[in-house]
Amino acid sequence: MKRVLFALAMLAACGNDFDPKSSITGIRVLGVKVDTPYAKPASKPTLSMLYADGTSDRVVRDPKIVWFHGCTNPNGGLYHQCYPGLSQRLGQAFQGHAQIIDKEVPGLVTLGHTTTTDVPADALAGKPQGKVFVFFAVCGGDVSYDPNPPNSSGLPIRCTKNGEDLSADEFVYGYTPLFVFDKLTNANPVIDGLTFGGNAPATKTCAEGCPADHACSGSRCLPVVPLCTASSETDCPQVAFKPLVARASVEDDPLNQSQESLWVEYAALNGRFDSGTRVVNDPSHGWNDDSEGKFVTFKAHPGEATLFAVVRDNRGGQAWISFDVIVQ
Amino acid sequence: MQRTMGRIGFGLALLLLSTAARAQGLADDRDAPKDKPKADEKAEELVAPALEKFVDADYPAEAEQQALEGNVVLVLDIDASGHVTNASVSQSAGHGFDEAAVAAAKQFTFKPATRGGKPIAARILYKYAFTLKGAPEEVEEAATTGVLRGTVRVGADGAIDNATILVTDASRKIVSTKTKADGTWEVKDLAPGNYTVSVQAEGYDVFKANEDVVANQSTEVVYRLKPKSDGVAEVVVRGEPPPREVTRRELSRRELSRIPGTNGDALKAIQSLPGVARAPGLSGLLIVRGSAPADTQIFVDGTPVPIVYHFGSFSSVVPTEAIEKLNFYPGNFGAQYGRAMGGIVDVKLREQNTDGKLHGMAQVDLIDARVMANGPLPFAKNWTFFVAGRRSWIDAWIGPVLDKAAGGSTSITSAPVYYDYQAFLETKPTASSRFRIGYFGSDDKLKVFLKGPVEGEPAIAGDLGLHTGFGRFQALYENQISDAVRVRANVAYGYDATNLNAGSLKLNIDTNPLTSRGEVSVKATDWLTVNVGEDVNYTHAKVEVHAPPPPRPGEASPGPINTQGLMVQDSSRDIFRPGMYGELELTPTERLRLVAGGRADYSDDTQKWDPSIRTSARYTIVNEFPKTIAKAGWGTFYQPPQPQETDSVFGSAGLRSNKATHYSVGAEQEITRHVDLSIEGYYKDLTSLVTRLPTAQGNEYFNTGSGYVAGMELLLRYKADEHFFGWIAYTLSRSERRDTDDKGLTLFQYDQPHILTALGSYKLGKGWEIGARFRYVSGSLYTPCTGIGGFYDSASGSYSCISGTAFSQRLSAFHQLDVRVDKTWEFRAWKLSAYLDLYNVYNHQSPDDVSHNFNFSREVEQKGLPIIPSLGLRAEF
Repeated sequence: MKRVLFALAMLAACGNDFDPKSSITGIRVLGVKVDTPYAKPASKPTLSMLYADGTSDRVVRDPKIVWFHGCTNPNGGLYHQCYPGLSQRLGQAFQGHAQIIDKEVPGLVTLGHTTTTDVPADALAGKPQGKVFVFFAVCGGDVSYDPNPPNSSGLPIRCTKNGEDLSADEFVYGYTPLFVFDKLTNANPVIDGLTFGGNAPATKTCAEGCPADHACSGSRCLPVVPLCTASSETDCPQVAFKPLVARASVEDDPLNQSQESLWVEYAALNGRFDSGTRVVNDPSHGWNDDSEGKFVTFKAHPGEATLFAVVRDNRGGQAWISFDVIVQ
Repeated sequence: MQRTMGRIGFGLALLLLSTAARAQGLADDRDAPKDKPKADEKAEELVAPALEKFVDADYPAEAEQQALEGNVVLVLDIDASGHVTNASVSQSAGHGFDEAAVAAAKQFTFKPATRGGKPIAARILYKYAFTLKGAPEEVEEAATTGVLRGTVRVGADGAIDNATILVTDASRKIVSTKTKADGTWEVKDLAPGNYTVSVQAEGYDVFKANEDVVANQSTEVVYRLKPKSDGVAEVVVRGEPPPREVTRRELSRRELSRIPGTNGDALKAIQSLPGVARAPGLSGLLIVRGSAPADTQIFVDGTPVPIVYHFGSFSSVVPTEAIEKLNFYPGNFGAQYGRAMGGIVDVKLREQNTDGKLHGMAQVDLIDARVMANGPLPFAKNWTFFVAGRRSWIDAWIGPVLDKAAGGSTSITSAPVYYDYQAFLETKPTASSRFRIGYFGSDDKLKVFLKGPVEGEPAIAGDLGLHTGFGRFQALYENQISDAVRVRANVAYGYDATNLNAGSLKLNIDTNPLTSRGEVSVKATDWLTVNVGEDVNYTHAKVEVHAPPPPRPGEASPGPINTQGLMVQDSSRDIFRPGMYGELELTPTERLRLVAGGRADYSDDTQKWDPSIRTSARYTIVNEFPKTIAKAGWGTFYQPPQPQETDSVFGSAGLRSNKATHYSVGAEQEITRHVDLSIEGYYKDLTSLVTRLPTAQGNEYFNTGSGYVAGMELLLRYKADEHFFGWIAYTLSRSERRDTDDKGLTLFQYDQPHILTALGSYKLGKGWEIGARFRYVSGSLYTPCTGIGGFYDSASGSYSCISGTAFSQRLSAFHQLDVRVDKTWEFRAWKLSAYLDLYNVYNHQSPDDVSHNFNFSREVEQKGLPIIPSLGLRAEF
């Protein structure tokens, strides 16, 4: 443990040459919000996904989203212990034959960016806490069932286009863990608004005349951010972007006998953030006002850019907000 | 022709004060070379044994008939009372001369050798000359004076030119001469009687001996000088100290303080020995013969301590100046040690100087600064003190460096800092006993404030604190009650602290261990010694842990910590582990040594007794130079579960101890007087390993694991002489494990098939010394990420690696060259040394780990440290 934390400290201090996570250059799942982050037995929570596609330049296309349901309290509470059961049920549903998943299977497969899931009545089974996993696949082509997929993720699924497997830039697979409690509750964080460059967003439309440092895009007045052509990111100007998280979002965390942790993750279509994740509330240090993200147009291109801020708590709660700007 | 037996006694005063107790029943520490004071002060006086009673040998009939003469060189073991306990032939003369000389020499009586006035055991070479005198008319008129003639040597064959020889008679009249280029000297016309001969040569300790001059005879002697001490405590590292173990490796003080790339750290020198793998990065782990780091135990004078290196592996927790000897057992160790399956490192702290003078040392380099002082305790007769301390000062410069590198995402609130300290008082109640009390300990601290969470771990943000430390109050008593009986005991009480805090994660473990170790050793007969002992540990632990259950090695990542739910343990517990052992050391013949021992350990967390058996054998196939020795060993070793494995929240009940069975066989071969070759093969069978398996209730522990380690170690060594030391060590090994019997064996996390170390250091003269060390080690194993990118956890917004087969990929091999240069200036009252220890001279950044991008779709090797110079200055008196 000592070695791990020393390494983490060094890792936090040292960078690498990969593109930052805040720069969206492919299909990306940014969050999955559950209307009741702490679910009750025999309930049907709704899950809705926030995704972005950075592969084609500002052409919004709808990737295929497939959900897989029915894993409750796997061994050790570990998501990968769901694989054997899910694989068997999918095999039964598709008779073991590889095929594109384009229709729903009740209780097992649903489609679309929003879905509901069933929490079994016996999800607690006499224990104080239960866990349900809902898996999903987001694909720039077609999601298929395949009993023996190459480069297996653990689930018998593939993402292909014209018969070719798509890469991680166009295929995201993951899961949403739902904690099940009889009495404990958790609310999603609340975002009351945002600021950009220290200012609230403009409310005027193009017809009303855009303010200074704004330009028209369709009928909207969007702030203009100069394109940075410097060779080093540190030479680029930064513009602050901050979601206004309600202080009441910080709830007590009875399991850890402290307050919730809250953090915000920033990402951008066309551009990046200087530090992608910031603490909003820390159980030891409390509320952090300095949680804004610094938007940078390094390696960006002229045109619209979308900024995302996803606020999470450490108990499965999420909320998000997005904002468009023009890079010139 | 009248033939009479003539004999001329030659005494070759060759004192081999190695701590290899070749005579039975001798305590290692009594023979341990002591720290040397500075050169121009009176050195701890070393006096060779002097023959008091000579016995004529029977002249062999065959040789007399053939008018043959001959010289037999014998190796004589002389005990502390002056009796010859063993006589063997080093250079044979044949024709019955050998047997006659051995029979006569065994009846010799000597005035025993002394060091600092205290009688000690010794081994000398003795030339017994058989000469036939001619007819009476050929005999010259007898003279009334004698001749003292000798040779001054160093090492095996080196001679010392221009050394000053002072021959002093009882009336203190001095005759002086100088040695020639071949080291020979001669003083004639000496009246019969006893003389003190003193040899002084630049760069060597003063040597003194008492010699008898007999009328009409020539007394011939050979003296071997020892190079002056570097001021570092003379430290000996042994593979395993005789007489209980199979393999013995010994390093001189000069070797330990001069190995390049170790900054003169004795404990880091262990990493250059065969059987010790290279630990990844700055982990500071000790990986011995394919075992996990937790399988190797560390002791300081028999007291267990929790760590051996400060974090980052910058230096060890006990500085070289405080160490007299290191006992390193890579496996098959004797019954005195238990509760470990891997290896044992037992650091022996230095014994105090008895020269009545105050000594001190101060050293500073790029990483830390240290001071040491020792000498007589004021106002307390017969007591000495030793105090030493070290503190890193890396915190003075690394904080701003890390802050700048992090670009503002972190802030070092308390930079990494470590210190260690030792303070002892010692007395010798009698000439053969020693009592010491003292306190020693170590502390490491680091604090970082993360403004944003660590990538992939949103719960780890804010304050990140790390602290480890330990302290021990220790009392130690040793007494060689008689030649046959020795008693040793030590007791220690102290604390161990481990504190890790990161966001909502907490790991605070504070323990107070009480340990005792006692042994009685009785030499029942010439061929049998019995050792009986106890080894008891009692620990009170206070535990506060808020953490998710740790992932199993190699299993798929369980996801970010904040999505797992924290397990909470806030309690105290006591762990009691008594042990006892007995051993028989047998030497039924001169060439054969057998050790058979048994040990029983109890642990109240398993509530079981673990009985184990240990055996070893050494057989000297060829007794004279070049010696050949064959050796073998077998034993069972038990290691109780780790505390977290039996913890009421994190662990499981009903566990047994892990078990290992060690087998080893090998040989040692002298090639020249300075070069020897040692080769050893070993196999460790591992069973009942505690393993974590997923169950419906969550991960639980079971004794279902098994595995093996097999290997071969080779050491070709040039033993230190006045110019050079060095060795080539190579280890070939394989280490595999499995969780349950129905699964196949896979490579163990710490498997490193090839470990090659070649090092050497050469004294150029005029205080200059240069050395180099080259290492080539197989890359470390890691678990690859497979799949198309990682698995996304929407609750944390992080990706997890989809793990492939555990530890199925290997990083590129590690190789590195380190160079060290030393320069020493000697002044009248003190000495100044400067050194440059250059790590990674050709700047090859071997990979230490693998890093990935945020979604594990790309992978790159993470490089190790670049070229690093370490400059140091040291002053001592």
